[in-house]
Amino acid sequence: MKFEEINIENLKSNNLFDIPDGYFENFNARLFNKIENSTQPVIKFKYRKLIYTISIAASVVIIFFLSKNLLFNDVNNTKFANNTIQTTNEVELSFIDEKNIIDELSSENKSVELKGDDIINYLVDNEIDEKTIADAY
Amino acid sequence: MQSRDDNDILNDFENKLLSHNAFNELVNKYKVRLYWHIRKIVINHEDTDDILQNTFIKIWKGLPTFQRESKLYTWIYRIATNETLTFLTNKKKRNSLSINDENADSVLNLKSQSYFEGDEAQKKLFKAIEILPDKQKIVFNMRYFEDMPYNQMSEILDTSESALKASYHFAVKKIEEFLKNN
Repeated sequence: MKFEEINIENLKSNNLFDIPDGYFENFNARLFNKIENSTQPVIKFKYRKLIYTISIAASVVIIFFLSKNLLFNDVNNTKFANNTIQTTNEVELSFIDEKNIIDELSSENKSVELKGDDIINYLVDNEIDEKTIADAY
Repeated sequence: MQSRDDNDILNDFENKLLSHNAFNELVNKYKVRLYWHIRKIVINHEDTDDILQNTFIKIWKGLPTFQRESKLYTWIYRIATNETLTFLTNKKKRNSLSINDENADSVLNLKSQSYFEGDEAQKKLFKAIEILPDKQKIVFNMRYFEDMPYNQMSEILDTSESALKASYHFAVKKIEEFLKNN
């Protein structure tokens, strides 16, 4: 088929494509509706931007307070932990009075004094012979 | 009813009380012409409708700052043409992402489109037009279907008349070649 055969006047006509009934009649109404809707998102966008800003600011504030609380809680927990240790020490120490402490300390340093037969009896009782004594020295 | 001169419509548009009616008049004056200008390039009615609406929305938004340095007609056509080119570019990007897109080749689906009433010869012609690069397609359509003078096309497309003539010439050659081989 030659191009000249196709290049006829009816090919240039708008009848090549059909359009839905009433398309042009309804076009203006639909267009103005879309124009109204297309201007609204601008306002919405502004609000959205504001909402985003507020949300970010709120998040920052919340994070700040949460971290602050956590920090304080940590400090309090540390204090509490210290208090607990202190209290525990106090409770443990409350069972030990001065006399017990002195007795305990003096018992550690207490030396046994043995004389005469007591030495022989001690060595016999503990089965310590001459060789053991010689090895120790 | 005889449509008024563009300048009269623009004068009315500058009056806040008359701007809505003036714009309505402008839409009535250009909607059919622009529809066919777009439709012959993108083929699909729904796409044409979207582009046409976006074109008029841009005109509505741009009119308050329109300086009258160019003719209103030229300015409106330029917006419609740029919208169409943008649509075609985006469509190509989409199609390159989804190979199985059923709308990937609108011309091949021409017959299956309920709104196409052309015969086999016309379908062939549109298949041939489809092979042209987007800008050349627009040049061909404006000259071939709309019989637009080169000086007007030059203002709208911001291209020299000689370049447009050459572009149209090569477009015709390509279409002839396509029709010979198919």
